Amino acid sequence: MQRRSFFQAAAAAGLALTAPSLVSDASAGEPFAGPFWILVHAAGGWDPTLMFDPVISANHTRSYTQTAKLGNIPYAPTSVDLAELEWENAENLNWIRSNEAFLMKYGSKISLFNGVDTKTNNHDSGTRSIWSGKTQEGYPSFGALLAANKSPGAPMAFLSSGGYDATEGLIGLTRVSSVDALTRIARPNQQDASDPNSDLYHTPETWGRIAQYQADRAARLRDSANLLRRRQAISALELARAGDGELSKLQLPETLVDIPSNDLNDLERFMQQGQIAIHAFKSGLGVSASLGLGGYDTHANNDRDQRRQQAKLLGGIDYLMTYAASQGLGDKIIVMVGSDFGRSPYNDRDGKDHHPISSFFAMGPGIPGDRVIGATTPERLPMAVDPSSLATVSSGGTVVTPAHIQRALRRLAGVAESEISAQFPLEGSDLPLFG
Amino acid sequence: MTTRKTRTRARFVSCLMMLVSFGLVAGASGGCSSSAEDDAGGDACLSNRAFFAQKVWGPVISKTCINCHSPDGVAVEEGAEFRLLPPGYPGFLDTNMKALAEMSKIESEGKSVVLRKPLGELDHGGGVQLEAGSKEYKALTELIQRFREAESCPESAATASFPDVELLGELGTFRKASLQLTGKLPTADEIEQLREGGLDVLPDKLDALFDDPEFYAWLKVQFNDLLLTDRYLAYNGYALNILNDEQFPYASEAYDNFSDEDKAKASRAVAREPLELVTHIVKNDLPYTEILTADYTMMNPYSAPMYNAEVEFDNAADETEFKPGHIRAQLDSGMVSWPTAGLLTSPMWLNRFPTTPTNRNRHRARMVMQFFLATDILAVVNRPISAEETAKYQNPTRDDPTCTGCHRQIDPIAGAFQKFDDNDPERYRPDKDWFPEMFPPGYGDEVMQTSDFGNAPGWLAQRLVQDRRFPLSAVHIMFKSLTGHEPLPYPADSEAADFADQLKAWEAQDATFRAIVDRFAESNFNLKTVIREIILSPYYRAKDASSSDAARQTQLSNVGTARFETPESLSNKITAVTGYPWTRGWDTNEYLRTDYRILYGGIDSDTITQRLTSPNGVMANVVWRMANEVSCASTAFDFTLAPQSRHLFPYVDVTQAPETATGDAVPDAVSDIKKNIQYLHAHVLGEDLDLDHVEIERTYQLFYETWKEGVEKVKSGDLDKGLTWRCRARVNRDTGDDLPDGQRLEQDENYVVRAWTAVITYLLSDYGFLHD
Repeated sequence: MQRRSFFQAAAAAGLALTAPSLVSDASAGEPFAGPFWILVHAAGGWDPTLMFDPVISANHTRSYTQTAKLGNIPYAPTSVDLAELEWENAENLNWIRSNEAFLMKYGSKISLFNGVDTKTNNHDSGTRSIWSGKTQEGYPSFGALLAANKSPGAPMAFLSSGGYDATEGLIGLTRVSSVDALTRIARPNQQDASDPNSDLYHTPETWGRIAQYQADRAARLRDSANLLRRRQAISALELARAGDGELSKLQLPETLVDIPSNDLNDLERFMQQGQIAIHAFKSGLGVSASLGLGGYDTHANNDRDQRRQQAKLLGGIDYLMTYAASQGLGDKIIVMVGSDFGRSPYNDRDGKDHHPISSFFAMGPGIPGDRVIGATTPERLPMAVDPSSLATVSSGGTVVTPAHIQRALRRLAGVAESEISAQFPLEGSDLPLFG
Repeated sequence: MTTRKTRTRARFVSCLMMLVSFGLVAGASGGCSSSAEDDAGGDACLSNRAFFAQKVWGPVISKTCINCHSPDGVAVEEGAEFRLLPPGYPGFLDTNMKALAEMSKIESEGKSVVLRKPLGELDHGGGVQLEAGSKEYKALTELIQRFREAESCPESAATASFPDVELLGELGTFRKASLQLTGKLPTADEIEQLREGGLDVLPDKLDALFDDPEFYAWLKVQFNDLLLTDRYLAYNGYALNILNDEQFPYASEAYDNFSDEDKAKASRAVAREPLELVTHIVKNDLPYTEILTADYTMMNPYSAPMYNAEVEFDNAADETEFKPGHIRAQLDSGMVSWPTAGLLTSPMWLNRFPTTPTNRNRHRARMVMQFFLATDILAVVNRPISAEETAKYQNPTRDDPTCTGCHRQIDPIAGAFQKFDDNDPERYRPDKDWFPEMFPPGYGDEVMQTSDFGNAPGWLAQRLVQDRRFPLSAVHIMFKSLTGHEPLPYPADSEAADFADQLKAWEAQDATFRAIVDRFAESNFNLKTVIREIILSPYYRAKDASSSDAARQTQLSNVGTARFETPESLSNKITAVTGYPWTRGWDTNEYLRTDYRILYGGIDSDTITQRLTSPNGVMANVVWRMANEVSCASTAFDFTLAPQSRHLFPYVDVTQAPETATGDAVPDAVSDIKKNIQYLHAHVLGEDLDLDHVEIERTYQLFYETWKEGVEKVKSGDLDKGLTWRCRARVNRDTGDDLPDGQRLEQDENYVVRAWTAVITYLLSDYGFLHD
């Protein structure tokens, strides 16, 4: 798409792409070079006491008798023992990770936030809150906000296979179900998708002519439309075609990871979607990806099920980081991990119910490592931090909320002052959460 | 009373308000004066409802009273009679105005308590909320005064038209509806009848679409988008596998011992039973209320034994023969009747929206409210929770005010599912007790008697269908299905600069919905009425507006569909337009229903349950590949058919090039080519264009330039004279047999076929083809 027509389409779609830098980014044809962002959502409400906010309390703790710490980061010293997790397949051990093993590898890179007050026990609100900074509807996921700011014309700018992926019309959301299907459409003018030397449907000149005539017609239709809905729909199609031809740059692996254990089907899907995202990033076609792993709503059998999912989650993140490094993106991936909210004291079914106090962690370029901000009391209430030093304080101070985290992430990503971000102002004040 | 100036301004606003409410918007005159006329004393006025919406609800009540008088508010918690519903609750405006009107009748010392309490008088628990001289208090005062007088400007519930909105005519509307509901283009007979009868015959022609079997396939897709029970088609036998093997022993046996084919038939029928119930009700013009109140379950010869049911079928081998039957469960005590209440007790619905021992059916209750009461309880009751405060309560869902607002509504409904197992969702447990620490089973203020516990789902169903939100939920469901968009919510931010315009948009939609609900009720809740009325409304038929004014565009923000075709509807459209589906080479499955279903924004009813409603870069590429593959397969083949049988090229043949070999124009050929292009714009895109329209010329230029390029390249030897292998017409697409030699079309020396192929690619990838 021509720069001018892209600008027109964006403006007509109601996108705040009037800032010259954004239009330039979107239309200059330069692939986005990172850093790339992966939003990992532990769906259902995780239990921080079994992860990196351990506590010794009869109401909250049954799986360990003392807490542990690696560097500055505390953790629950739970094992990934198959018997304790009530798994039989030893293959599982190849794919899951314990807290300790994970921190041994990544603790020096992690900024951890404990005592994050989501102010909700509601799954939908909590999920929205942690990834958009607002509990009410109407705000985009941080991943969508990033993609719209950084490279809205990229064909796979914001990928999602779970978590909170509302775009609020800023950008088209991409879902990928199979590599084969994706490969087949990458070169639509090639009769045999697997053979770049196969016959073409149209000569290159005709192919370009069709696209140009199509764009000209769309522009006329858009400019003459007085119904907002119609104009936005035409513009959305124009924007989706802004990266026409770019998808041919996508390089995908021939096969995706295959875990030979039915216990880990959800982890396999998580890893596969992560692989696709990493290849989209590598090919310059993507900016951000939202991945989800469910199974955290543990109203019964909390410890067994949380530990299972947590071991999968950490194994999955380890896999993604390792895989990204193998693709040359080891220093370009920022991973953020959050959940709907936290868990209450045990109920009478060995489960835990909803509790608004949660954790969040992130790692990657620009994020200080081996760092813990915030804490909880033994009753799992949040402890405030000094707004400057971020040290926990016994009185006064500020309790860290998802809005604080999102404000800090926007600054870290360099999009806090953008016109798009300005459409979605966040409550609260700026805290130096990432330095 | 207000001052003269205030009153006059109110009149001006009221004019727009009323027009919107009546569907008579900007540009209309009759009965509504201009602002200048208002200043001069025009007779336009504001209905009480409009006055409440604009002057009292947004600026006053939504910012003060609602904070304590909402269902979860402190005032209600402490027993206040005055209760208000927050926005997001269907019908909240009418309910609240009625509550206010009733409360205003109560006076103390000659003055309505509604005017005393906000001033902090009469021991108002909320203290002072309004100052006596404020404009907010004056607005409230005027409203109370209006309640005491006969309404001089009553508001009609009727919705007429939007005069500044260009609507699809009878043909355009019917084409759009026919493609969407049945996947078919109008027939020649239908076109003729519509041309003769005009809009008057449109409703009858729409009704005729409801007799098409494909309409019911469409209906199933729409309700599966809601119920997501097609999840249980994921593998053969899935639906049988999840039925409790003690209570439904035949299902277990079928799963283990049936042939793959029979197992598939039985499992499919069980999995889609909720969708078959909806189909049965709509097809037989039964009241939509039966989706909840039906005391039967739809079953076919394969599924009836799975349910221990005894049903007589006409053909025991016909899996399409669905009849009402009665589920029975095998218990230790013997075979017992299932407590059937339509979808609420469908084994698949119970599985798709399961519970846990501690969730206690609350999730189900939430979905009941969402599906059948048009109420997203999580949005209605969304307030910050204090971890510290909540920790003070032993039983927060019953005692903590921050929890009870939601749980007071959710928990009684949850109690209706009390006789189903917590861990095995469809297992019937007549011996199971409910939880005394929860709000008791019931509905609204009504508590269910323990004697009704055995038929709790039926008890609930009878009350749900009496709730005025129930028919509204049907309108919401069908509105989203037909337009592709959620209904507009009430504008939340009364401080927004365009709040007045947003409000007008919502008011117009609200008026339309209320009118449709009335007709729905008059038709004994025949869902076809809702579908027909939405199709006939401007929300479906609008294609443009005359005003480019920003305010007016906001007022019309949800008018018109511009619906991005789903994978299923696009697949249907391809078949309708070209005559053949876009299928995979190695089988007959349609690409958009298999390989590209998810990539193109569809759902799998399991992990992906929300459709994408606007395209992305990947979907754009799916479109290009589709357009290329379909045009390649269709163009040459269409030319092998007799002109009257062709889908794409009835007015041209492959010998007709725009110029001779020496470059001289061939006027007759050019004329025919343009005529065919005109036909294609109508056939593929539904555009009725004159021959000299700019888009006809644009498409002709595409044809001409492509032809010119190709002829020169063929002449120079850069391109072959023959078509590429895949684009040749070698096989009869109806029979799969090779075409006779004389009928094949494999050569394209004059490049006409390839020029037309480019045109077909262009049209199949057009905005108008990808949207309805």
